[in-house]
Amino acid sequence: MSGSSGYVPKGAGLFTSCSWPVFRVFFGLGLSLNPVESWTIVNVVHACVTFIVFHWIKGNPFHTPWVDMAGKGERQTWWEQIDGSVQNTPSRKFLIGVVVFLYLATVHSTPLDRQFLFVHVVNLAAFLVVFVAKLPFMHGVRIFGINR
Amino acid sequence: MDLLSVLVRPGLVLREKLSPFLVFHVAFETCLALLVAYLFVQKAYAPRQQRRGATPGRAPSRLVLKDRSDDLTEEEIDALCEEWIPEPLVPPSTESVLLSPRNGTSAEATTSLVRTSVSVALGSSELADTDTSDLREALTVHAYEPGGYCLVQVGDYGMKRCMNLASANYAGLQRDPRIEHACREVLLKYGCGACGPRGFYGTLDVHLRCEYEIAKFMGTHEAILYSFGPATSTSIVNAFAKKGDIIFADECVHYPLQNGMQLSRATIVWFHHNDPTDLERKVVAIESMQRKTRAENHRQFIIVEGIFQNTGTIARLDEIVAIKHRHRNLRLFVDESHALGVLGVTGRGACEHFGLQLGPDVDIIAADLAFSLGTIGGFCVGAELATVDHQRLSSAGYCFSASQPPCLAEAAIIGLQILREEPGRLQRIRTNAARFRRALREHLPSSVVVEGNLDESPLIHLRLQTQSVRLLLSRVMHLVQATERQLRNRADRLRSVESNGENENGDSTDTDSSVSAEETEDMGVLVTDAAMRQINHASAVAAAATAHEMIMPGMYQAGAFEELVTERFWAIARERLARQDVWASVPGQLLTEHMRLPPALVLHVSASHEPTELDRAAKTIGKLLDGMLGAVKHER
Repeated sequence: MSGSSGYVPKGAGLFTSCSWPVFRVFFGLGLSLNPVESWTIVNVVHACVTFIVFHWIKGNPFHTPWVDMAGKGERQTWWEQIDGSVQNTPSRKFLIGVVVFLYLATVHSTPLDRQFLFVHVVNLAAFLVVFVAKLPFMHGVRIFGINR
Repeated sequence: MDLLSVLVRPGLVLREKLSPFLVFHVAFETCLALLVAYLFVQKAYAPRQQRRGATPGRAPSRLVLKDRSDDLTEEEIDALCEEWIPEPLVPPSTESVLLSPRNGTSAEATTSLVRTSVSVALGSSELADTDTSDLREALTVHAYEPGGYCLVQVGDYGMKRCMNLASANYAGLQRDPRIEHACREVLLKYGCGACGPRGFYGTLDVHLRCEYEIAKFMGTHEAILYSFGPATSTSIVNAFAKKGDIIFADECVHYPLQNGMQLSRATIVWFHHNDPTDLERKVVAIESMQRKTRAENHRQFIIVEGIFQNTGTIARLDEIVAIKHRHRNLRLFVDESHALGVLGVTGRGACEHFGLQLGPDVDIIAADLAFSLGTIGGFCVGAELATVDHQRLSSAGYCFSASQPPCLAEAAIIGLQILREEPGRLQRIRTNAARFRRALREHLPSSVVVEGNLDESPLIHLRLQTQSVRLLLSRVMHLVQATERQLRNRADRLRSVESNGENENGDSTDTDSSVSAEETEDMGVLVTDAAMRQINHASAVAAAATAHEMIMPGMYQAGAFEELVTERFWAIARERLARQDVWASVPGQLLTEHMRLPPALVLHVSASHEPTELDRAAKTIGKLLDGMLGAVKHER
């Protein structure tokens, strides 16, 4: 998901779809956490990392004197630069799908019980932030001027 | 129990009791799934086009097949091609009326008319309506001789052995036999070099030795060697300053620095030439602005030259460094090209002259090796090791340019050696410069300014004072108007001859006479056309001159007319000086974004010049300029 060229390399999808199962398996088998904890950690960490990478960092991440982006690219987040700013492209749909699937898995594994209320709230918040930020109508929008 | 379980094992779910929690769970997950499904069937679109277009659904995108009905027909394409007027590659000049091809005038023709008028104003023998070629072409240097002399071919006048004040050969290393010998040895050993960049098979032991010698000379640990002087400062500025950084630059810095600053995309804040008060004012202004926007993580640079190439003044580095220390987050970059081998006890340049240390006081020092050291190339030394190391990977001029030919690096090594072994040379440059400046001030007419704030600076710019420029301008304008009148009269005469010819032609029946009449008519038309063109030129020039005179009387920034006239004045002075055995230079105009320096006669004092010869040259220059300006004054 290089910001400089604005297109998603082929390996990126494979990397994404392999990396979170690896973490999930590691938490579950390696650290012997229960499914609720493992899925929650994977979901929240995924949300945090992708929020920083996709929706916080702006401009060209690999700045060199002789490769520079003209004008607007410097003010766009990586997510906004993907696929030359075209919305609803396959790579964008894939990444949205990943976010939704992780949340779905979290909800699925967490019992609907009062003692898990906090877990539900945290997961919902993490999901909503990265999910809404990825929706097409949020392109170029800075709510309350955050990260302008 | 939830959606997945329902899908996978419906029987098991049905057997259990349906709880409201389960219903909620299933409904919630179904909603999410539907939302994703809805997103996945959406068509791709480019956000800009949707916002602008009235029908968002039809907005084209590169992923959706194009609607063929929108395509242009062959005729439409042809029509568009017919209508298309390419944009000029260079924006049209807005600086002057004079050089714009308006009213059928061409820049060349008007320029030549102005030049001719200047020649006439200065009492030249050339006729007013002949087109004179550029005087520069008539002067060619044939050979440089040791001792600061050169052989110049002065047009038809013949070969002259002139005192060379045109080469920036401050330390007098031009044609030094030791350097030439060493160069030849290295050339025989290595040839022209590897023709690869330094990082890609281009590095030879000579380069490393040269870097070591430069570092030793500058009193630091490491230096970086560039292959070409002007590329040095351009690349260095570029390697450090980035978009969003702030550069405080003197408005008279030389062109490579300006170029580098522009390429770096940093914000450039110009301060008045050699005016630390103005610099501080601007630093404070930027600081308060940053505090307001909370943007503090910018790099900030002050960029000056030790001795300014465009004016010959020495930067007031002591005060600039004081400002640097008073404000945080400022780095100082000094281009020592003209001060290297001239100022300071050991010849390190203006920083040493002011007793400044590389590190605490100055952050980056760069220099062109083409001046004092008489070779080709440049170098940079920095406050930290990282300053140099950073450039080895991120300075375009170092990474992507073939390495310096080893013989030139060897020349730099020997040059530095000579400077170290003969400290008398440095002393001689400075005494020569001071002596020459004093002599010039003594002999020059009061309307010529010897620029510079330090007598030891061997780079001397002579400029006309505003009053003499104005005098010269009005004289030239007067001549141009006279030419215009004269041409008009001649055209009128031609026109009357032409109409007479027509009448005769109408009356006559004789074949021979009618042919001759037609011929005269044709010629008359031709001549009239040429004359009309000339009149147009003349009136355009007159208009331009008047406009400038009225809008900005006597200001150098006013534009090209003054520049053209003064430049011509100095070119003529240069040619006449060459006839009197003094070889000076009139550099072309190099501009900053917002200011133009008036043309000047530039003189370079060298250590190899004899003091008595310098006195003689000063006297010659003074007498000549006195005569030229006197001619302008009297002929009025």
